[in-house]
Amino acid sequence: MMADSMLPIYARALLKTLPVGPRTSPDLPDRSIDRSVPLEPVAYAGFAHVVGQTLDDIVHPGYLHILGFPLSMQLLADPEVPLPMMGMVHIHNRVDMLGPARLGEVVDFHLELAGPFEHTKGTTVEIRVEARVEGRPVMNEVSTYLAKGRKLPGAEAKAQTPHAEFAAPRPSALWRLDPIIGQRYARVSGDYNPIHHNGLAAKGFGFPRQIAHGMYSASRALSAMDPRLETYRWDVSFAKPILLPATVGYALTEGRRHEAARSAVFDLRTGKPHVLSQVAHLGE
Amino acid sequence: MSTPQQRAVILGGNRIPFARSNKQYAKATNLDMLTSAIDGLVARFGLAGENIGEVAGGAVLKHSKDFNLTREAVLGSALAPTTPAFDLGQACATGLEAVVSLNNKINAGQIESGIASGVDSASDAPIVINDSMREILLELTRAKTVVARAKIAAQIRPAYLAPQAPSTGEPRTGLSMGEHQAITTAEWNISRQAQDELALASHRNLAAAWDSGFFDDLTTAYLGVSRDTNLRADSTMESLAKLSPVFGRKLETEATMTAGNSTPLTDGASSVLLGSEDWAAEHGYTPLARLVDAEAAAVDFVDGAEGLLMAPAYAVPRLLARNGLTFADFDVFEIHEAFASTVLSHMAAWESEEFCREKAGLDHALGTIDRDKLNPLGSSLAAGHPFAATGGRIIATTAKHLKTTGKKRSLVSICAAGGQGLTAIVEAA
Repeated sequence: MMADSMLPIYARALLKTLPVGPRTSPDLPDRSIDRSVPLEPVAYAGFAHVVGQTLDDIVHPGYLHILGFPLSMQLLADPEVPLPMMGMVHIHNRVDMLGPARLGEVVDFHLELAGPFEHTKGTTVEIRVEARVEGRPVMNEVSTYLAKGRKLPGAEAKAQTPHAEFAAPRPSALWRLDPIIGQRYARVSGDYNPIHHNGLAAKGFGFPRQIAHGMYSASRALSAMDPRLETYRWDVSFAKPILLPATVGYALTEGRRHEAARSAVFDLRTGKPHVLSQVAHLGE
Repeated sequence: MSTPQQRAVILGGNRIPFARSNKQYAKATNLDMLTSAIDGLVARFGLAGENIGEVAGGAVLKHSKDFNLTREAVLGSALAPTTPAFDLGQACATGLEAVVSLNNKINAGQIESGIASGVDSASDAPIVINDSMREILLELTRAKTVVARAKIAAQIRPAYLAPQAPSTGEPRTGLSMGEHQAITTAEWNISRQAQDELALASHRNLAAAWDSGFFDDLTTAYLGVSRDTNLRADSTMESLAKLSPVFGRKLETEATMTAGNSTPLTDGASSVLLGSEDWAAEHGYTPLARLVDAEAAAVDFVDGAEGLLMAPAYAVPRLLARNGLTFADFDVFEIHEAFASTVLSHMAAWESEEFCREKAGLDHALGTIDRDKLNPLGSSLAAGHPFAATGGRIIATTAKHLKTTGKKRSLVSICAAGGQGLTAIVEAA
């Protein structure tokens, strides 16, 4: 399925890391992708179980992200994008859930690139996704990717969310993450980025070991927060990557399960955050 | 609503001595041990070839092949093969839930007799392959062609072959029961000394009960074991004080929970005979006691709002209120010792005005439990705790204790995984 479409994209992206001539413009190409994807129960079940979600008819927002993800990568791998896709870091993800998407329905995705934006650590681009079911909006998503150390003339100024002070709470849950989790999540998400299941590849991108998929941790945290709201905003900030294997802590830092709340996935030893999540009512 | 008839009585029990895991019972299966416990009961009460109304039982660590564990035990026992059985499960409260369930069926007039049972082996535990391997194997069974199978088989990685043994970890939190309890222990400020004292009392009381022959008609030796092997009659405060803490070492407070004041993994099985008064009379059995009421409770421990094992602290006030009783009306308190600090946390909660008013919805604190009335024949710290077998051990023990001492009323309380607790009132018959 999605798994099939991702490998050539990574191959193309790898090629793009080679220094092949100057690119013509610092601007992003004005491209968008529209694609319809059916919500298929067997494929979804694999995803749901890996991220700790009870299987029911309403799909996890993380799965909608995953369905849009190969399309996002197609946009980013475009030769006219003046930033290298490989090595880009997913630093933030915001999903507005506007209504339920159910198994058996067909989701119409519309994806656009936005940016480039200035960032203290480089340049960011955004993938903006609109998902509809029979014309009914179900999700808007903004995924922010950072090209570290790259500065582009003409990048738009953009306010950055300030880094909040983080004090690690007592973990209410421990997640024991085997290296297998990188492979399992790759199998169900189609995101076969080698930094998640190959230590050597991870080293190539500056990580001492393979790292967990950020959206795996984020989706699992959302499963634990288990919002029972009709509509909500799901905001995720990715801090330090989780080097596998690891046992990390999870805890709510504000609010209660099923409601608007904040949670953290963090390093048990250093207390540093890996993934900070917030579920909020829309319009707040 | 009319009051249900109180026609059920507790007639006796039988268990095999409990053994620390991976020792004498290392290769005994749940089915072996459960059959043995039931057969011992059948032998003691002369029930060979008899039809029992229903046999209920369960195991917490259960193989999928044991989907009909209790029925299989009945078929392997001396009971009539036409005796029906069912499995049930409520984690560590499984054994007590089996008693409550059959008690209610007898009171409802659905059956005249019942055997409540429970078993657990932490040694012969089910081991499963990890989810990746399981998914691949299931996909293989669905694949239709050799090529498709080869493609799927090619996904197998060496790491997928590592088996997974069951743990006492909570599925939703990944924390072991001990780590959960360590948080509660710290919150209630339970001292190491208090825990060791409780553990010591448990060993002393159990040893005295064995020495006096109390368990002679409640147990049947098995595989050469004639006493609970975890029992340390020579335990002292000094020997307990030497043990290093095993839980709560990463908390900011002092770690106080050791192998001495926590229950070890244990293998064992128990059974309890229940019947209607008429059935008992027809068979010439003397009723020991009756289970007059039971109350379950559960707490939301998932994000740490309440301690994992604190549910009994909520169940007991409701049970007492419904029956118009206070602690003063009880002669015996049988509180399952998952950890010494679990019992002490429950008692601290019942002594706390704040807890009883704000959390249990009472006007005032429930009160203090007289230590002389607490687990007078020892409990799980000394006997061990084969999860589903503990309820049957406690019910048979306290029923006989009431009968032989002339005491009137016992409060039984068992905490369980998943933030649950089951409590019951047992009165002398």
